[in-house]
Amino acid sequence: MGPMIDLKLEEASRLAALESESIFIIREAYRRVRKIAMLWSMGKDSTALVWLSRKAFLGTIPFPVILLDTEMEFPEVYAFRDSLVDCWQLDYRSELCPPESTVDRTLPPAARAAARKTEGLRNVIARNGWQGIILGIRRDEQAVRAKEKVFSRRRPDGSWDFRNQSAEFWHYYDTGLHDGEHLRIHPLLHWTELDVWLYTRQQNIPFCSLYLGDGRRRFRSLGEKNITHPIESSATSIDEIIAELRATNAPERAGRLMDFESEDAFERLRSGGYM
Amino acid sequence: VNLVLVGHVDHGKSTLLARLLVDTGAVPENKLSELEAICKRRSSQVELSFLLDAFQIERDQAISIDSTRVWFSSKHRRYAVADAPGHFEFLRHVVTGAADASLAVLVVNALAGPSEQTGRHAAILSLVGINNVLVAVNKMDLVAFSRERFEAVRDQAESLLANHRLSAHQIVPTAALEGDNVVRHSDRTPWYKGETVLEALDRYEPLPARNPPLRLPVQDVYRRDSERLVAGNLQGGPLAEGDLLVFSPPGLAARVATIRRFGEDHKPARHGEAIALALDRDIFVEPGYVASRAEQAPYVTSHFGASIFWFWRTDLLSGSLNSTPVPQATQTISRSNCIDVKSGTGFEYEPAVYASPGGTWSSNDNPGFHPINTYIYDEPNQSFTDYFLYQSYGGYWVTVATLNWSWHYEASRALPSLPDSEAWPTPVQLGGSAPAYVTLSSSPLPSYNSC
Repeated sequence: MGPMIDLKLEEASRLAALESESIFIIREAYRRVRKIAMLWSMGKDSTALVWLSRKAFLGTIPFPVILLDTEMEFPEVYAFRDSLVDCWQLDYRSELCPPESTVDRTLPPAARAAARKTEGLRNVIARNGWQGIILGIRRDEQAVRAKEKVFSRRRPDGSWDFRNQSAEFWHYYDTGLHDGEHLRIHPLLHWTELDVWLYTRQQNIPFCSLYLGDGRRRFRSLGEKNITHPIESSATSIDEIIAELRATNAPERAGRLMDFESEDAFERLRSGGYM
Repeated sequence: VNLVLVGHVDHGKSTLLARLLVDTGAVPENKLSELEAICKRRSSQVELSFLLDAFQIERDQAISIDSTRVWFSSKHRRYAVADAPGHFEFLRHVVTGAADASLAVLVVNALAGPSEQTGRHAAILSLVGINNVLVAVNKMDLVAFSRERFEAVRDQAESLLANHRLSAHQIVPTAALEGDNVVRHSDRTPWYKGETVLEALDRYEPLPARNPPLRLPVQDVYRRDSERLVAGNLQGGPLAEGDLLVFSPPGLAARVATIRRFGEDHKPARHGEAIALALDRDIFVEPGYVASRAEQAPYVTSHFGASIFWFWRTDLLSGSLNSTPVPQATQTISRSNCIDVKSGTGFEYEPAVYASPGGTWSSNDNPGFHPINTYIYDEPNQSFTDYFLYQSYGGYWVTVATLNWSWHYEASRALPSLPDSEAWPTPVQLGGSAPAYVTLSSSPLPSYNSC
């Protein structure tokens, strides 16, 4: 028999440990890579990431915060951004992604729409000479992302050589780069969807209203409006979201069309440099 | 509880893990139907391991390439599992997966028995400080659930573990594809009265967390307005404003003036917390220093012996390697009986590598130490893995080491000017098997790990 544990205490100490680890990673990225930027999609994960960065640097984030803008985000998402940029004193920059006609035509349609962001990211990295991009992906979102490392090298064309990843343990992170390469840094890699919501509630972090919905449907994962659907849900408060997640078995990205078009759609996107 | 799953390629690790996920209800509803559809398209029977082997090439070749982390819960607690690839080429990911684990699950094929790779995995587990291993003797269906075969493999596994100073937490006969003795007791092994894999996991009690001595490895120093803030994640504690700290290696002392956090200041800092400190006087502190209480200071050394695990495709040769622990210093590694991953030999737990920061040496017979740099470490079996060799930040090759001996100073004293090699005291045998990491590089340019 396992030991009885105090769930509340266990939850608080798990969140504290996750927070400390993520701040360590963000500080490490800044110390060792320096020329870095952070992606902010305005979703719950990257907003928690921005929050953690403010904590890491005591209020003022010492690097730019970037939106890869497809101009296809929901209006509520843009409004959410506008409410925070000044308030949080962010060095916010928007990068307009090139049109769909420029991306790999062999990808399925929704993946093609998503791949615009890959192109936008490549452009903004090249123009600014960034060597590190901090972003809020998590291992539990998707099986291909589960194979990620915290510090993950990308080749000059942005592609991911997943066969050749470095060992990573005991907070040792390999930050060596060849010319033209950059690192993707994933401070939330070990968090689960539930952890993010519990932390958002505990810290009272703002989140976009679309996650709450109208009592019948809500967005569980936010992507472009042309390729993202709401899920059936009666949750109208963060407590109800947390209760729903504790009960459900359905995957988080069920509303994200690009994940379901073909067996390898997401792997091809990520190998090509998608987040 | 963090688990790592290891074993030879094809012995069924990913299938065992997938079975645990399915039978504990951790797999989302549509995942299984998605999987059935994919397997149908591939005209194969349902491959549970596809749940974890997400890459096309992993599915095509039916092997795992990189470690995956997944979660499941029993009635008693939550588990995070790293599924380490079994293939020889991907050994470094076994280290990645094992380093954070407190319990390992070793999967052994009932038909084939423990393999050479099983031994390598056991060696890695031992090296990173894992003591307990749950063994699943898997694919019992291939040996017709034979009790004799199970007992033979069980005995082999036990002696293999013992050779690597590991103990068997439980040894369970399983057929993971069908779920026998994974979560459900099997009626095909009536002779086995022991626990299922999940029951054995639930019985495991992690060692109670020790209260480690207070350490603040300095991660960075920030300037904010007129203040210099020393940032890092506190270990041990609590640490309060007014407390006296000693920074190793230079042995400089200062008091904590203010504990800075975003939004809230002044509360004592607790174990694990990421903090920033303003000090009461202007001392020079840089990343890599470790702060402690004066009476509990860590040791400082520039000479040590360690058993290391070398990841690179070329051999680790005497005098051929330079490490760059800090920019101004170089270090040469010499080897005596290096662990050879390919042959699986050399796990003698003898001091395997002599590392001398600074200068060069030609052989073990004539070391010619020219110490320049210093390392900081704690007593064996303290949890110093996070900050031992903290100064080695910036090295390119990372490997695992077990520290065996060193010459050291008490860090609470300022480091004296270092004597030449003849004047060094007898090395202190550290005993134990305290794991640590060491960074090494074979060239001034960063390159990739390859095995």
